[in-house]
Amino acid sequence: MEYSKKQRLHKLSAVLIQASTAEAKDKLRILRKLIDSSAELGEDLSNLASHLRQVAAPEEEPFLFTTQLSENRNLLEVVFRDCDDVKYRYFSIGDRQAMMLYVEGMVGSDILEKFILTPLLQLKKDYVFTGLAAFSGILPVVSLKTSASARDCITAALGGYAALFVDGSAECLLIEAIQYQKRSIGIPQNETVILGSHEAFNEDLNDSISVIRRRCRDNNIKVRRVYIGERSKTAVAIVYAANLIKPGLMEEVEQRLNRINIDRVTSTASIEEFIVDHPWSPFPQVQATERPDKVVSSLYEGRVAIIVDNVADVLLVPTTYAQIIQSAEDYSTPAIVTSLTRLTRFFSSLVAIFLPAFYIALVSYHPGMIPTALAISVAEQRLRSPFPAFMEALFMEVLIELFQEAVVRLPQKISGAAGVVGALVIGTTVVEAGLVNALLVVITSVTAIASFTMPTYSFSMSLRIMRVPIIFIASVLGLYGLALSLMVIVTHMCSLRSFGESYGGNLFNITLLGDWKDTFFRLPATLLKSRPKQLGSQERDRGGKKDS
Amino acid sequence: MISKSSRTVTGYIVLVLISTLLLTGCWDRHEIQDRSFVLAVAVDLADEGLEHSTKLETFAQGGTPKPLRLSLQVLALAPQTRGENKPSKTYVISNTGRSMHEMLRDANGQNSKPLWFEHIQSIIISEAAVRKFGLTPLIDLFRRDAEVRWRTKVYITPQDARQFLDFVPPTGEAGGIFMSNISRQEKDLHIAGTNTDLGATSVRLDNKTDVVLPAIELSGKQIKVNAMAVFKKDKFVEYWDEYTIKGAKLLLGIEKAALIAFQCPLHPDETVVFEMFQQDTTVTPHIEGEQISFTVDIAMRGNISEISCSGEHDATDKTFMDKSEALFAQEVQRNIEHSLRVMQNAGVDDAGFGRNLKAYEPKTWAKIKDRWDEVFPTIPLTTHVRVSIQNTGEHK
Amino acid sequence: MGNLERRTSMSPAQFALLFAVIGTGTAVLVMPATLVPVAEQHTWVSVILGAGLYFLAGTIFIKLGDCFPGESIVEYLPRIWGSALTVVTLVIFTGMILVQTSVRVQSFGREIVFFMFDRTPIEVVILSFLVVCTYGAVQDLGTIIRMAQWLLFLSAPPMAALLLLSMINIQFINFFPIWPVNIVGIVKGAIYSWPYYWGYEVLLILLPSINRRTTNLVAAMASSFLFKISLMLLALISTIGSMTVEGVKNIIYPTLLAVRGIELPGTFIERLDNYLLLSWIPFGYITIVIWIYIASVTWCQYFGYKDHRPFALIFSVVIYIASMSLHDFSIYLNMVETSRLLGFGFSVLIIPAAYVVVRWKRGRCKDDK
Repeated sequence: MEYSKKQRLHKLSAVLIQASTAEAKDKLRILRKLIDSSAELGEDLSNLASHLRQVAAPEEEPFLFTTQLSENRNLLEVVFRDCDDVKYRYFSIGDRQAMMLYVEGMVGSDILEKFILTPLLQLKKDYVFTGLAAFSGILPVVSLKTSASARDCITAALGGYAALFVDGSAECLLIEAIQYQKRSIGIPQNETVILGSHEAFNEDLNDSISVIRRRCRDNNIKVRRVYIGERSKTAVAIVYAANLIKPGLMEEVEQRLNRINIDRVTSTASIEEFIVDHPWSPFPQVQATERPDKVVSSLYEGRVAIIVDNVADVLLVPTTYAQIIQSAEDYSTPAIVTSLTRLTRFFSSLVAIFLPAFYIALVSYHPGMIPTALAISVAEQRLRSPFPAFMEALFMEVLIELFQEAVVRLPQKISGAAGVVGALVIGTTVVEAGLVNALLVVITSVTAIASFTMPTYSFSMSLRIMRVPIIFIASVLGLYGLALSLMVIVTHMCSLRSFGESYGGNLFNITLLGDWKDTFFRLPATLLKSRPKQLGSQERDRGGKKDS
Repeated sequence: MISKSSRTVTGYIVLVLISTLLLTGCWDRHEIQDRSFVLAVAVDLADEGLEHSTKLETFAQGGTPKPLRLSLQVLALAPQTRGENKPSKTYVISNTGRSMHEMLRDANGQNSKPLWFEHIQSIIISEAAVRKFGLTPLIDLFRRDAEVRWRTKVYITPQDARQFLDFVPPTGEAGGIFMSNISRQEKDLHIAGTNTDLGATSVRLDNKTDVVLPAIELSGKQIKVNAMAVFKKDKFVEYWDEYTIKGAKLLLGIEKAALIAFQCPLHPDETVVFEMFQQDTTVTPHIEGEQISFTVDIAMRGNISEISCSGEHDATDKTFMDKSEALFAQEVQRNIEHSLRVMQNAGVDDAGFGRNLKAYEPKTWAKIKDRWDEVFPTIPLTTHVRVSIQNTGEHK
Repeated sequence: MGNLERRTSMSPAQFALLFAVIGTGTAVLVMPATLVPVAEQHTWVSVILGAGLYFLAGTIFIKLGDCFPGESIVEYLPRIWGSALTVVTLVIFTGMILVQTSVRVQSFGREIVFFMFDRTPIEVVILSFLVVCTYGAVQDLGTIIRMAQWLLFLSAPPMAALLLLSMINIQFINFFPIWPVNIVGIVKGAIYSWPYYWGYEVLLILLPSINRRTTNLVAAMASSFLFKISLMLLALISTIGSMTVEGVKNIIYPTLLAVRGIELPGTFIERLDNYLLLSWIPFGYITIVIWIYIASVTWCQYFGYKDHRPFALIFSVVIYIASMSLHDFSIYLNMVETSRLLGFGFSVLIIPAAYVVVRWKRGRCKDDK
């Protein structure tokens, strides 16, 4: 086809104004703004509406229930708007309308059907409704209560209760029907022992408490519940032995827990860091455990256990350094063997902090302390590597940290191969490449192994933190710097207080001489007749008394 | 409670303090491979060992004379590769000058790494140097410095001291280590190794008692510690041979094992050797008016270790053993009397008589201590020796 | 916080440990060089005599404190001889503490620099030491008591082990002759041993905090003295035994040299004197911490404040400046003399004088059990 004359291409918008893209974009932008502002307006309106609803209600309640069922239904539907797992069941009792509200997945439907709906649906047409409280004689359920508070109703419904409303009553009947999926009692992941119980806590608060109760049929073991978290309202249980703990300890714990001002509780750290005295210290001042037998023996020593719902660890306060070093297995092996392993653990905590720094101090500052033959051999090995000792040590430290972090994140199938790679890289090839000398590799691996012997994982992490500044100090001031840093650590440990108990200071305290039986070594159980004096329990004799 | 501003101020002060520590540098950080290990030191007169000397071994110090020569045996580190085990070699740095410390500092000019003395093993001093200057000025630097070990071995040699540093031992280890380990042989009674290291010598010089030091000699590729150099206070007197050393040790009671050889009682041309492993020696002073005398009581226990006429008789025979014991005791007595004679002729008190008097008879000592040099040669000694043979080894 | 841990009281056994740790390290390391030139062969008699003398002084301190139960010296001294003399006494007390601590810090710095370092300036050593000591001194009493126990059990065994090891070099003949006896030298040595027994002066401030229901305080103090005596005797045996009296007189740091001379055949550990120095550092640290704490609590009580921490900071700075000015060896020796005089005068003259005044005014004090 030929163009007889030159035809120019024009944009459509020159002809049709509405087709211009610029205008379209403009209009689109305006439309988006309108949509956004209308969404904001909608939110503001609903906020306003909820505020209005709240006018008549007491503080903290979003609204007041009325005697009209339809009103209540509207109010609830507004509150539970877009919560598609909240279900409503409408039926009639006698001649009145009734509604049952429940959250699917948190309640057991067969409980609802068999024990709530069946008796209610079998009520005859001429049943006279006298009030919700009368249903306690009709419904064969274990736990029910009435409540006029909307906040309670909402929280309970979301917690697994079924809420029953009847036309003509401004209250709701909360019926417990909790049945949800949870993990069964499993074995401990981090604190395994060879001999002893293999149960661990799981995420459900009631299961945890029952696991403790099973081990001690003692009415003096008290359980108090508090709710922490403005929005998550997590249940936290404080468990203690009332006739044994130091007077004032439980009140202090409860006071600190109630002071926590946070909106949700997801892990023990949320609670832990709020209740300790020194959150910046690298030492863990609260002990977390997943073994019930440890919790029970701690309760009977006079400590308090804090169980947090949806967290599989239980916090024990007060905690001292000696308790962090003890492990549950110590009580299943013979006393002499245990004493040796305890001493090894104390020694390895020292090694884990100081060994690389000691190497640096010896090699760089005081090589005269190394015996002559070894000194010559070390000097010859170090001729090949170009770095000063302190840089080598830091390099190995960084490598080990990278390696540890990497192995933690790997899926199980690959971690075996990663181990081999790590061993080859860190062990052999770094030395062959001349970057680092072989003695330092030995020292670094001994240090890493020593830090893994700690029974509490968080403590082995804090040992790593402490190692690095001490390497710096040793590279500036040699063995003298090492001694000074030991002084600083000792002072810090003695000044730490965990709920009034000195953290590290009572290791060598002569007034607590009786406690030494179970600190550095463990005497046979026949000799461990009294509770540790440090925790100040009201009664020291472990023989037990026949009282109530 | 500390207010917010003072908390900030405190924070800044702490930061400044920490950075002064970290940023100002580490004055004493010298890596171990950046130090030169000095394993042995040799002190000579300046014109000894001239055949090895070069014109670089001196420095200008303002026209003062340079009588001394200091030589250092320095370890040359050989980088180790895997699987190999090359022994390290050593090399010698030498310098002449007036004071040891100046010579040392100047010797750094011949070396790439700072010289470092914390692993020094032996100090060898030539007889000529010690005759000219006495012992004290030569070892003063080593007594004073904090780096030198207190148990460094000191040797005197009648030859040039420097050639000992060139000696390469057959074991391949460094010469200084080899030479110092010779002194640690406890069983060889001809080595005067007990209480003759740097620390003990320093203590003797402080107490103004006579010093003895082992003497070492080099011949071709062999080295031997065979004699003892004796000093009157710190002036060199003479050398004593092995027999005298043995007698002196027997007298002092410091031997851990001794061999007494004497003729066989039945065959006077053959030798019987007794090996002592336990002894009990007491030296007692006796004062009668102005006359001082000493008695030494020795009880020895040991085995018969070698009989050259063994085919002829039974070593466990009682008469043989009794006769041997008497003869061994006689030999010990002879040895001790010979040593004492040598000591008294030289006027050097290595028998511990002075120390004994000072400890147990202080009143007498106070009277004669200024005349001790005259009194010591006149003191008689009575010796009582008792030898008892326990067994004769595995063979009769 | 309810009646959870008792931070402000201690038992007599804890006091004994606190007292045992003050000055003991210096006693082991420096004492032979100071006392042997004076008392020669009979330094051990001086040591025991000095212990007896200062033990008596300590019991007088306890008796004086018992006359005013529950009060520290700042509170009862004005009632004894008026507020002007109180200020003078407190100034002498603080002066004694500051002078002796500056001397100790300077000598600590010198020894560390001489034996462990080569070119590090002494200022850095002392500064870092004082920074760490200040961190310890701003803690409360409960922490300091526990620190003292920790450090005693941590450092006393290695020190004792090293001293016992150095016994392989001793020769018994070095301890003789037993006579002639130099009485003047022995008495002088006993008086000069004050810096190695100091520490009971803390009773002036801390006596109200000691809970004496179960143990006898005097017996506890006596056991601390016995501990110090035994360590000092060990040091004496090892130095005089291996180096003779003349040798010790000519050596500046005899204990270190005695330990340096240990040569264990067949083992690979060498240069044990650095380990002795390392085990001395905790003793030095806790001594300075306790004294800064006492000085700051004294003035804090005098001025009526609750918090002793600013005073601790001030005193640390004063000690740093004072010990830096002791660089010159002759000034240092003068200061050593002065501090000895101050310490002896305070313990043996001033406080017993106060006790005499109290008894004269009041008659017999009722004992408070």
